[in-house]
Amino acid sequence: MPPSSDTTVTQWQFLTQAEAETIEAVCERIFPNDDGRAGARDARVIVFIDRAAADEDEALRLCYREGVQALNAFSNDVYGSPFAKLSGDAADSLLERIENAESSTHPDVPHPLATFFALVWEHTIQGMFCDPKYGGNHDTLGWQLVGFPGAQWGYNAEQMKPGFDSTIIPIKSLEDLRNELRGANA
Amino acid sequence: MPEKAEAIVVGLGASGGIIAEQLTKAGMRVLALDKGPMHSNEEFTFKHDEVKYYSRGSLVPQLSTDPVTWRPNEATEAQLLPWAAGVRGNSEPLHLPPSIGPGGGTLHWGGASWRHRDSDFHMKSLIEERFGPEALDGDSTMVDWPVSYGDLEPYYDKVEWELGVSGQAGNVKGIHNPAGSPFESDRQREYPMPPLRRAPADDRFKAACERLGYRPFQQPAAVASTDYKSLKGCEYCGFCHGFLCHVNAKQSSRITSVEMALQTGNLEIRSSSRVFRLNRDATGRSITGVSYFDADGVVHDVESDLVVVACYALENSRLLLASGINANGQVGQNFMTHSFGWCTLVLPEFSNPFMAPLVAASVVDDLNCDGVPDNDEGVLWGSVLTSIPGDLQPIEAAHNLPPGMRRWGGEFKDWFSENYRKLMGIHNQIPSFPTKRYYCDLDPVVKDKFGQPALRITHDWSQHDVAALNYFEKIKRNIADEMGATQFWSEANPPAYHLSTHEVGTHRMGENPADSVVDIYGESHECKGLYVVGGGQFPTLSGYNPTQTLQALAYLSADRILEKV
Repeated sequence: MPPSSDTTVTQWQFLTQAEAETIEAVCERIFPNDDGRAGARDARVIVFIDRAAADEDEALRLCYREGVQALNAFSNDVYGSPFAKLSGDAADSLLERIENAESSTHPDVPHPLATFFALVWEHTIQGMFCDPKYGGNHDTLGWQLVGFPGAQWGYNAEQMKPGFDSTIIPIKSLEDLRNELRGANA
Repeated sequence: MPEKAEAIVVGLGASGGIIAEQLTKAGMRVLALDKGPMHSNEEFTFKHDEVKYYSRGSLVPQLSTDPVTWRPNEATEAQLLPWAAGVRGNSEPLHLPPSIGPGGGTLHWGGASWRHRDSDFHMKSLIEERFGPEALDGDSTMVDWPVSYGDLEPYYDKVEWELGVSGQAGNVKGIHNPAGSPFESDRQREYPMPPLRRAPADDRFKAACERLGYRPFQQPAAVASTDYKSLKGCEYCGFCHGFLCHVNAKQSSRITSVEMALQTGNLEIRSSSRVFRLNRDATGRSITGVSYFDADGVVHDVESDLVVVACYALENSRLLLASGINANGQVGQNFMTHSFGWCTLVLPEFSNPFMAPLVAASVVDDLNCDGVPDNDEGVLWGSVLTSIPGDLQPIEAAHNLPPGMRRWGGEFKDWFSENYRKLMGIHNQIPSFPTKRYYCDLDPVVKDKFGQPALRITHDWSQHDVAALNYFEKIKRNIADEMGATQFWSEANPPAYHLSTHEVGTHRMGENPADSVVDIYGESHECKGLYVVGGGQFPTLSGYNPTQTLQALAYLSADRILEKV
C-alpha cells in the first residue's frame, strides 16, 4: 500500500520521505486498517506527526530522527529488511519486543526504541483524534471511527438522554464552527 | 524613580480576582501582575481543541518555563516531575500546577464548588476523639482550623451569590430538603441557580447508588445552569474541565470578579508579568513592593505597602522562599494534595461521555469526613465519591485503557471504537494528611530561564492514602457492579502523580506566629502589609474540592484589608 504521503503532502516540514514511510508504517500497526475501517494511514496521522515535529522542540525531533534509524537497524538485524517492508505480523512482533524492552535493560532508563515507540504511540492517538486543522484525523475519519461528534457548540436534552445514538449528529470541526459564526455574522 | 501602586495583586485567579474586585470597588487603585498570558476572546470561542488543551496543556505552566521538581523522600535526588516530563510531551496537564493568566486556576477547573462541612474544620479533634491520639502518625502536623464553618458561612454565601453556583440546597437554616445534600451544614439560603442538567450516564449511577442504600444528590457546580449576572447558561458542549468556556457558563474569575474590577476603572492588569521577588524594608518587617520580569525579561520594580500574593499554594511558597521570607521555617511545610482513585467503567449502553460538564453529575457523600464507617483498613477520614459521566474526549480516553489489553493493533482499535461511547468514570478525593515528611522548598540545582530557583516537592503517598484508596475502590467496584458495568478498572495505587491541582497547606494560617505563616486573614505574621492567600492557608485538606473555601477566605481577606473585620 503506498503511503498517504504520495498523494497528500507535497512537501514535508521536517521528515524526509523515507522517515515518513517508516513512521507511517509504525502508526499503521497502532491503528491498522485491516478491517476496512479507517486506520492511521487513512487518517493521515503522518501529516500530523510531521507538523508536530516541526512545531515542537529539538529533543522531540531528535527522538524521531534517531528512532527511525534505530528501528530500521533493529529490523534489519532481525528480519534482514527495513521496518516499512515487513509483513504485519513481523512488524507487530518487532514492536512487541520494543515495547517490552522498556523495563528489561535498566528499570530507570527506557530503551531508546521504547521511547521512540511511546512517542509514535502518543502522536498516533493525537493524529487520529485531533481537530483536522492539525493535519491528522483526515475527513474526521478518527472521530467517525469512535462515534465522537467533534467540536459542537452544545447538546440538547434529547441528545443527552441515556443510550442516544450520537452518530446521527453531524460531526463538526473547528473550521465548521468558524464558518457558522461567519455565516451568522454575515 | 520607581513606580508606586496603592495595592499590588500577584496572580488573578480565584483568590486574587476576588480581592482585586473588592479593593477596586472600595475605590483603591490596584495593579495586578499575572505571569500567564491574557487569553483572547478568540481562544474562548474556539476552545474545542483537545491537542492544544489536553495533549499540549496550553493553559498550564510548562516544565520548560516553570520547572518544578519532585522526590519521594530526602534520600532521593529530585527530578523534573517525572509523570509530566519527557520527550512525549505532557498529556498530564492537570497533574501540573493549575492554569495561569488572568482567570488563573478557574480557567482550567471543572467547577466543582463545595462548602466544607462543619466537621472539616475540626478534623484533628474528631479523628483523635474517635480513633485515639495515636491514630495519626508520629510525624503528623495536623491541627484544627482557627476558623469555623459558622465564621465562613457568610462568605460561602457570598461566593455562591456574587459569582454564581448552580445547585440544590439540602439544609437551609436547619430545614432539610431531601432533594439536596443530607450532609451539608446549615446554610442561610438556597443556591442562586437550579442544578445543571445531568450527563447521560448519571441516571444509572444515581439509581444504582440508591438501590445500595446511599443517598446520592447532585453536586453543586460553578457552572451556570441559567443566565446569571455575567454568566450564561451552559450549552453542555463537553469541552469543560481543562478547557476555556465558549459561552462563559463556567465561573472563572476572568469573567466574574476580574471583569467587575475592570468596570470600576481602578484595576490595571499586566499579564505575562512574572513577579520574582517580594521586597521589604530594612527591618524585614514591612512589605515595600515587588520586582517582576516583563514579557521581554526586563526587570521592573513597583513599590507598595500592600501586596497580595495569590499565585497558588506552590508558587506562593516558592515566591516567599525565594524572597527570604521564612523566619520561622514554616513556609512550604504541610504540603497536602488529593489522590483520586480514578475508576473507569464500560456501560452496556451509550453513555456519550463527550457531553456535558464534568460536574453535571451526582455524588455519594455518605462516606465523607467523619461519616466514613468504622473499617478494617484504618481509614480515618472519608471523601466525596463522584460520578464522572461527561467531559471526556477521545485523546484523553485513549490514555486510560483497561490494564492487560495491548494498547495498539486490531484488538485495541476494536475495543476503543466499540467502547469509547460507553465509558464513564467514578472518582474520590482522598485528602492527604499534613506531616513533617512532606513539604516544598527551593531546589538547590534547578533554575528557570531567569535564574530563579525551581520549587522542589518532597512527597510520597502514605499508608493511609493507600488504605483509603483501597477502601474506596471496593465501594466504587460495588457501585459499578450494581450499575451493570461490563468492565471496571482503577488507576494505579499509589498513583504515579503527586500533583492534583488541589495542593494546599504550604503557607498555613494560624493564630500562633511560631507555627504558621499567615493569620486567619491571610496576612503574613512576619511581614506587615503582605497577604499570602489561597489554599496554601488551609490547615487540613478536605475530601471536597478546595476552591469555594479559598474563595470564601479571599472575601474574608478583602474585608480585613478594607477594615470591615
